[in-house]
Amino acid sequence: MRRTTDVNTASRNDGLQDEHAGDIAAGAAESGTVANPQAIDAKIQERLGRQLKALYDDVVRQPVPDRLLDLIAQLEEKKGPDTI
Amino acid sequence: MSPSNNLRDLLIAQIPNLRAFAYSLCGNGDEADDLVQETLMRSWANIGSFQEGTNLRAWLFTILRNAFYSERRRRRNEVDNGDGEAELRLVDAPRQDSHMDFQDFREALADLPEEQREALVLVGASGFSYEEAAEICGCRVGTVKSRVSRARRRLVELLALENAADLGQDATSESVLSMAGSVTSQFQRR
Repeated sequence: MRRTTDVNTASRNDGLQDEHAGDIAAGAAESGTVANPQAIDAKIQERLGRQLKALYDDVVRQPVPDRLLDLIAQLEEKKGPDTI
Repeated sequence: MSPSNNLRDLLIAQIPNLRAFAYSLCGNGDEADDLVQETLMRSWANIGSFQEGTNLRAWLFTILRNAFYSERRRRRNEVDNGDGEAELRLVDAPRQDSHMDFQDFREALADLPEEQREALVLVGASGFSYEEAAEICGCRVGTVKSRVSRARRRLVELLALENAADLGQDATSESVLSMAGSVTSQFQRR
């Protein structure tokens, strides 16, 4: 029982360290103290981030579809909101 | 400028970001635009509850996310055997970019548990802070952090990226970037 608890605590710590590494991946890598096997290599994390952003920005850069612009025009015609 | 002109401009400015988030939830372009449409209608109707000076984008993302989950609950109730057939995939329509690397990433992202993907997108792509993402998702900051962290680790597993050696040369990332550029120009041409 106690052993299970220890394992849980350990893995929770790993998670926290990993998060920390995630926030300041570059800094952690530089310090050379990354002994956590679950910590993600800064370069890999950077690559993942870039791919995610590329996928997302691919949609962001698309022109706004007419149907959505038309919708806003219709909403405006019906009634303007009182305040913003 | 009348208030409604102002609101219209603010809303229109947020549409590209709303669409990108909707895509990441729906994985399907038409559904994503339906979701954005619903979001615009709800936000227009409820603009009175928006507190001026707070983050309009976060407010809109919250509405979009709520609309997404309530629509899905509704559909699940409608369809008896709602066994997730309509479960959402980012990979629904394979697009022109057959670049393996990029496609692998797209599929790995789609394989993530929904809550992890959502957290990762909000923080890693939409540019929200952990605090804002927590507000949008209606959960605690620590929960968002651990979801993002687990999402990253899962992606590394799925993509079998065990160490930096797997990264290949800089050429890899450059080709990903240029691929993103060419995909964009395809859309612009349409």
